[in-house]
Amino acid sequence: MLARPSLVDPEIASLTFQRHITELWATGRPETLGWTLTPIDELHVVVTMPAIRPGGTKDLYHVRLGGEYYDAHPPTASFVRPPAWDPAPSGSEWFPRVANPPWFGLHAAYTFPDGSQRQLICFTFTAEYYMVDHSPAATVVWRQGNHTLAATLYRLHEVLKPPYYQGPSNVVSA
Amino acid sequence: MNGQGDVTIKVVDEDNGKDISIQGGQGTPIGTFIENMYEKLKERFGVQRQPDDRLRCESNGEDVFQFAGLHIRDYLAAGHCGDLVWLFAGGTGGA
Repeated sequence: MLARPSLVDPEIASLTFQRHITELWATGRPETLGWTLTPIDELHVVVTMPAIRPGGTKDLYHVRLGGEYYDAHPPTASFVRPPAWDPAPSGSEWFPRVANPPWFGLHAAYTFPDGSQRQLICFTFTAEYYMVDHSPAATVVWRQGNHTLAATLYRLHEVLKPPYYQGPSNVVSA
Repeated sequence: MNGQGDVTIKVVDEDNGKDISIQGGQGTPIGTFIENMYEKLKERFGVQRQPDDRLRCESNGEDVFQFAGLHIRDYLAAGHCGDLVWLFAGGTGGA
C-alpha cells in the first residue's frame, strides 16, 4: 500500500504548479485541442476541455486542478460545474459518462477512508487516487520529475473521446 | 510532404506535455522510429521503456507498436496516421 499524500509547502507547490501550467500552455497544444484555462488562485485552476461523443457531438467539461500536494504527488482533480466550480454531481451535464479503460475509474460519490463521500477520478495521476487504498505496479505510480500535471490532463482528454466517452451523465443515450 | 524524402514524426510525451521529433527515410521500419523515439525520450526526459507504455496515432488513436515491422512508406501508404503525430504515454493505473 502506498503512503497517503502529504501537503507541500504552499509557496513551493504554487511555484511548481504554475510553472508546469505555463510550460504546458507554451507548447500551444492545449489551445489546439480547444482547452481553456481559468485561474482560480495560486494553487488552483480550471481547465475546460471539449469531449467528443461517438456520433461527433461535442460537450464541454470543466476540470479543477489543485496543487496542494504538487509535485511530490499529482494534482488534485475533479469535474466541476460553473459558476462556483464545485464538484459536479452525477446526473448533471457537468459529469461525464465514461466507458472506463482498464487504467481509469470515475466515481461521483466515493467513500474515502475518513468516511467522507466525494468525487473520485481514479487513476494514478490524481492526488485523490493515493488517498484511498491502492496497490499499483511501480511502473504506473506518479514519479516526481517525470510526470507533470500534463499527464493528468492528457489522460482526461483521452477518456473524453471515443471509444471511452459516452455523453453527459444527464443524457441517457449518446 | 513525405512522398520521397525523409519523414519527420512529432511525438508528444503525454506524461510531461513536451514533444520531440524523430526522422527517418522512406525505407525505415516503424520499429527503428520507435527505437529512436526511446533514445530521445531517455536522453531528454529520463524515460525508460516499459511493457505498459502506449504509443498512439493522434488522429485515430491507433496503436503504433503493432506496426513495428512495417516500413514507414508502407505504413503511410496504407493510410495509417497521415498527420504524423504520435502520442506517447507511460503506464497508468486506476479504476
